[in-house]
Order: sequence, then structure tokens, then C-alpha cells
Amino acid sequence: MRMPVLQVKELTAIFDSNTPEAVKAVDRVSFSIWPGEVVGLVGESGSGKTVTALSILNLLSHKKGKIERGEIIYKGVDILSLPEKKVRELRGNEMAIIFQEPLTSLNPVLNVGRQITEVISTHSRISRRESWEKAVGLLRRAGISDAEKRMKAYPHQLSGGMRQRVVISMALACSPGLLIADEPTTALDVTIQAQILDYLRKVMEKGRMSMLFVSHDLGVIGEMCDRVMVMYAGRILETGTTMEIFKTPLHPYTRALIEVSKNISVPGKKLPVVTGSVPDLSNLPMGCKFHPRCPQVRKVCREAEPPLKSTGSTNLKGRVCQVRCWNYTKI
Amino acid sequence: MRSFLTKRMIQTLVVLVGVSLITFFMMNLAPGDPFMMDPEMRMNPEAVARWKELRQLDRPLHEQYYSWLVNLLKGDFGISLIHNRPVLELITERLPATLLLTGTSLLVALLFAVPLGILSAVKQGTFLDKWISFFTLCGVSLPNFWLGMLLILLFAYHLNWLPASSLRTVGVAASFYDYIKHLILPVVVLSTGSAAYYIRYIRAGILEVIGQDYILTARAKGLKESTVLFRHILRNSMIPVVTVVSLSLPFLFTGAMVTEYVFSWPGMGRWIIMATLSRDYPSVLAVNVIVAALVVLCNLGADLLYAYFDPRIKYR
Repeated sequence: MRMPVLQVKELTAIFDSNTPEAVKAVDRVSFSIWPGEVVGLVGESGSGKTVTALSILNLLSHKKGKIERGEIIYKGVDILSLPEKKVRELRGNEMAIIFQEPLTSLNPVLNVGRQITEVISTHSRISRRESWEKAVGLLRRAGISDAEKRMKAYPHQLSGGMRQRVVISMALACSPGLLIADEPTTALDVTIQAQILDYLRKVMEKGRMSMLFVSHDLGVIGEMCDRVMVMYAGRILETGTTMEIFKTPLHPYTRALIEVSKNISVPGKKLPVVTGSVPDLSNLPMGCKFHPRCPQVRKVCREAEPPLKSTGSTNLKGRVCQVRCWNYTKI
Repeated sequence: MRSFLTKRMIQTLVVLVGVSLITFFMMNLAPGDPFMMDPEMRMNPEAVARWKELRQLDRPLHEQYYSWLVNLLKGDFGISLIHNRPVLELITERLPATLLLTGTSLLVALLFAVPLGILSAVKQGTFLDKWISFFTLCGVSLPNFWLGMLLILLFAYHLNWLPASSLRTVGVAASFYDYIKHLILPVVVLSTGSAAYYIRYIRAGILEVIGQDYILTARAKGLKESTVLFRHILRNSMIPVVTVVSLSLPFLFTGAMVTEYVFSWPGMGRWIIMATLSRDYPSVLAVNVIVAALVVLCNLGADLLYAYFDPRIKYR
């Protein structure tokens, strides 16, 4: 049987705060990503999507966070138990990440060529000339015209779409096995967004890479992903294939999200919303974390947190669908 | 670029004329005159009047200023009222000693400040960072004259290890070792304050850059920490450091007045204090105009360096 590319087991990530207890940004999150698969991670701001993404690269400490416990197993190796030097060899090489804001994620004082070639030269022993040519090729494939000339440009001289193409080229430079795209199109306008998504899909077609696609935009998730995980307050509330999640969402939160995104473009109607707001992570409600906003809330929801349970339906590849809700769990 | 430079040159001229005007009239408004230190002259009003006529101090102020300006354009800074010698000569005599002192101090300060500033930022919040912060706070707060006197008291008076004053031992053939020995105490005093100052700027500059997204990107590329630091962080944090260092360059010229005074250093600083106290108008004017020119030039240099460090900055 084939192995998953990435297994995240019981990941718990905390941030120190002024409250007596550290804030848990991610609480016992487990999931797997299989070869060639695009897995979507969807949720509102502050639900722990980016923290999960950074944890996979073990970069959370640079954002003042800490992985409290859990395992991140990449191709059979727990990277949290590897020495930093070994993890460095994986970063940018085996696992790459694309951040949301292309302007701030590029170094303003180095030219584009330098920023791409440095990934290549860090992870492989090839000459300057070769890595330069490789970088030009990457830019060209990413749809940048005049790639040769653009190599010498600085980030501020490029448009937002071009910058994101540069960031993607940087991430793809060493043909990683896992690409983490953290809201890669959120900062871009809609036409550019479509082009970037097209390009990412084209890259995926080669089938060698897996992708964790983080977004708050269900439309984009629906377009890109094979499977979806819905995150809320640092927990996964529901997982399933994209088809299932969109056709028969189980969790009231997922249903509300989909309802909202369907009705978003009905003219003359008030913008739909999921009532209530995301809970404060340092002051989470008892029981199910979604119960204050849930239309189907029951007594048990306020008292105990439901477990993430398999729904019984498994999809073709044998991957289970799960939901965290008392409505589907026998008490 | 050319039009930027032309604009800056014109600004420079306006600043220099302004500085000289203000200095000239302020000096003349200040109470006292060049003979107040000379009791013999004070007793003899006729001599004073004769002397004033000779040095053209009896003419209206605006005429005096005008002729000073015309002479300046010919490269003539005038003649010292106290020393009766050309001001320029007095400056060139004293400048080497001052440059030796201030230049060495700047180098020593940077030599300590750059690594300590980097270290304290990279190890932010650790024991080491707290100690460095404590010492920089002390360094910034200690007045130079007081630190100077304490050092003299300890190393010159009590321990008798190092000389307390002057540039070299009088009556002995000048030697490198002798110069170094005389330099140590004043250099320690001068570099303590400025190193502390630079450390704080370097630390703050690095900390601002360290939190940026592109540093996370650099780490996500799998670069070594040293590469992240030297290639990605340092260049982006240079701008505030360039600013403070270039603004301190003009003081290489005036010297550290108080420190030179405390250590009887035969340089510009001590002479400027004496010139001001004795109302030596031409000397004070010359120094002020030169320092103003240096400040403006160093600012221009800093602006040009910004453009070198940051490609987003362009001058038109």
C-alpha cells in the first residue's frame, strides 16, 4: 500500500500570552495527505490554518509559537524529532510554502533572480549559470514574459500577480514533494487569481507533488481540491471529499459556510453571514466550540466537546470522512 | 540623479549662508568682547579703540559680515583675534590630533557595536541580550566628562598605568607605543558612549527586519541561519545605522570638546572652547561654517547610501 506523503498526528500548537494558560492555536489536529492529492484547509481567520501550515515546516518558533506535542511525519520521518540541520535540508527542497502576501514575502533589496537561485544553490550542487537558467525556465513556465529581463528586477518593480508567480517559482524550484499554499491568491484580484490557480493546477497535473491548499474561500477550495478539511477554533470539524462536502455537508458550520458562499452573489439581497463571530482562543466556550453560533444546538453541545468521528462513508480511495458533531455521534 | 544633486547643492549653499549669518550675529550679540580676558587692554580704552580700528571691528555689523563672506569665497577664513594668526593655519595644526582621537574612537565603537548589536538582536530576550542592554544603557547615560575623570583617577592617578593627558610624552622621541598609551583613556571614554548608542540602533534595526514575512520565506527556503542573517536581515536593517553613523561623522572634525578638555588633548575641541570663551569671532565662525558644511555633506552621503542599500529608493 502506498504511504501518505504527510501525516500530522495530534498536532497541538501554543502561543504564549498574558493569560495564565498558553493559547492553543491548534488543538490535536490529525490528518494525512496522499501522493498527488490536493487537500484543502478551510476556515475563518484565526481558526489555525496558517499555524498548521507553519508547523508542518517546523517554522512556528519564528512566529513566537511552539508545537506543544504531536508528530509531523513526512515520508515516514517525524520531522519534529530531526535535528534542525536535517529539517533545513527538507525546507524549500522537499516541502515548500507559498505565503499569502507576495510583496512582503519577497526580500525588497534582492533581485528576483537571486531569490530564486538561492533556493536552487542551497539544495543542489550546480553551477551559477545552470541555476540561473533553471530559474529563468521556472519564471517562463509560470507565465512571466521576458523572464530573462525580469530576473534582474526587484520585487517592487513587479505587479502583484507577477510577484506571486515569482514566489511560486521559488517554491517549485527544487520540485518539492509537498507544496503548502497558504492563501496563495487572497491578495490578488480575481482575474489574476484565476491565472495563478490555473498554473497551480497545471503543476499538479504532473502528479509528482501533493498540495495542502489553505484558504478561507470555499469557491477556490471547491475548484482546486480533492479533499477538504474544515477548521474552526484550532480544531478540524469536518473532513470529506470536495464533492461530499459541497453536496452533503454534515456539520452545521460547514453547512452555514456553504449556504453563505452560494448566496453571496444574489443581487438585491442582503449579504448572507454566519451569525456570531469566531470565539476568542484564550476564552473558548465549553463543549462544542461552535455551539454559541449553532442553529441546532442541544444541551449536550454545551457540556461536552464531540469527538471527530468517522461518518461511515468512505470514498473510493478508502479515505474516511469525519465529522465532529453530536448530531452524528451516539452519546 | 543630476537634478537631485543640483537641488541639494543649492540647498547646501542656502544652509551655509544661514548658518554663517546666525553665528555671526549671535556671537556679536553675546556679552563681552575679545579683550575681556586681557586686563591690561581693559584698562586702556584708547588701545582698544585703536585695535578695533585695525581689525575693522568698528565698522557696522553688516559691512563686517559682507567682507567676511567675500574673503571666505576667496578661501580666507580671516585672522584669529586672539592668536593673531590665520584661522585656517590654527585649524590645520590641530586637526590631525583630533582626527587621530575621534577616528580611532569611531573605529573602536563600530568594532564593538556591530557584533554586539547583532548578537543582542539575534539572542533577543536572553540573558546575554539583557546584559548587553544593561551595559548600553549605562554607556548612554554616563556623561563623558565624569567617566573621563573616573578613568584618570583610577588608571593614571592610583594605578599609574596610563598617562592622564596630552597626545604624547613631552621631551621623549615620538613612538607608536607612546601614542597608543596616550590614546587609550580618551578613546575608551569616547567610544563607550557612541558604541552604546550604535548598539541600540543596530539591535532595533535588526529586530524590525527579523519579524518580516520575507525572513520567514528565507527560512522556509532552507537557508542556513548565517545566510538568513547576513544576506537577508543585515542589508535590510542597515538604513537606520547608516543614518546615525553618518550624522556622527561631522564630530570627527570638531572633536569631543569635553573629552579633549578633560584629557588636555591638543586638538580642535579644546581650541573651540577657548575661542568661544574669548570671543574669537573669526575662529568660531570658521568652525561653525565648516561643521555645517560637513553635516550637510554627510547627510547627502547618507541619502546616497540609502539608495545603494535599498533599490526602492531612487532620487530624481
